[in-house]
Amino acid sequence: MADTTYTIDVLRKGSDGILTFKNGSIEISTTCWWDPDVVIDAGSYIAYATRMANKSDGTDGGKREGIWLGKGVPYNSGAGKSNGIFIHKGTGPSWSDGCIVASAALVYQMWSSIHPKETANITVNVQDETVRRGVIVPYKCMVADWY
Amino acid sequence: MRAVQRAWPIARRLAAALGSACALMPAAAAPAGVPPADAAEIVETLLGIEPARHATPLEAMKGWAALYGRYHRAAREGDATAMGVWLLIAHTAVVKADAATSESFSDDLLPVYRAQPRAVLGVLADNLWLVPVTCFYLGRHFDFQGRGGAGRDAFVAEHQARIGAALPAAAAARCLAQIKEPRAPR
Repeated sequence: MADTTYTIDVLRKGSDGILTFKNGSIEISTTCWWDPDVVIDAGSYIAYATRMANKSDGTDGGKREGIWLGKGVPYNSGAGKSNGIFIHKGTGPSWSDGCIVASAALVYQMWSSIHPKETANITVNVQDETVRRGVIVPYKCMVADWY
Repeated sequence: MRAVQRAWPIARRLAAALGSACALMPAAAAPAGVPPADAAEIVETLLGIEPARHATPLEAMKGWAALYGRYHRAAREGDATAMGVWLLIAHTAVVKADAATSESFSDDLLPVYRAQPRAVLGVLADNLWLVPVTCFYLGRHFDFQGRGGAGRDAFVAEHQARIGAALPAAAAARCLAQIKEPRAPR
């Protein structure tokens, strides 16, 4: 039997975004945030369900649960690459120095449903919403209106 | 860019220290000061080289977190060398935009300073280039995880004179500016 793979989608819309995850009966769609000074570049990242060894506030009483996005994640339009980007719990951008944060209960629900842990079995897709505003005016109309 | 340029001399010094340590010590001897493997990992991380002591990226991530944990514990216990290395790891976290490590410092550095102010300021007095990052994390603590700045004014009032006495005037001013309005010194 092939190992299960998982997908987490992050759609950024300005200063916050929507994180979605589906696994069996679990369907999550929730607001997420990040540090506006360290913004990872849009793209797909192979990730791991693991724990943050230096945070002792895990929802289950252990170390904090997190989804590690792997090494060399580009940020700030290629300004550098980071080895320390996670998805973890948080209630707003002040919880982040570059990680993506979302509701503790939902991150834990998502994290708990991923098996095995410590395995590159998650794809995290980070996208920025493309916003189109206004009405496209035909060139002919614009020129005609001038005269 | 400037942060990276500042990091180069540090990396060279660490690499030189590592080389000297390796040359002078028997292979089995317990190293004094900074263990060469730790120094190597810090240099490799600063330079974006795969850490030689870890076999996979996941192990490297966990190994770096463990390195943080070891020096955090030793710094809390008042080991002056460990304090310096721990603050160098803070510098590395900012230079490399290591969010997880940075978030640990945003939580942990202020309590260590409160417990060991002389040790922290002693390292800064000898290494003024560590002032911006260290004081950034002192200030960041008051905003981190929804704290909303609570306690910042009282901390500044309590520690302004101590910082002013420990550091040269320009460095003290830069430190206090970071505590009052923290901005990651990238």
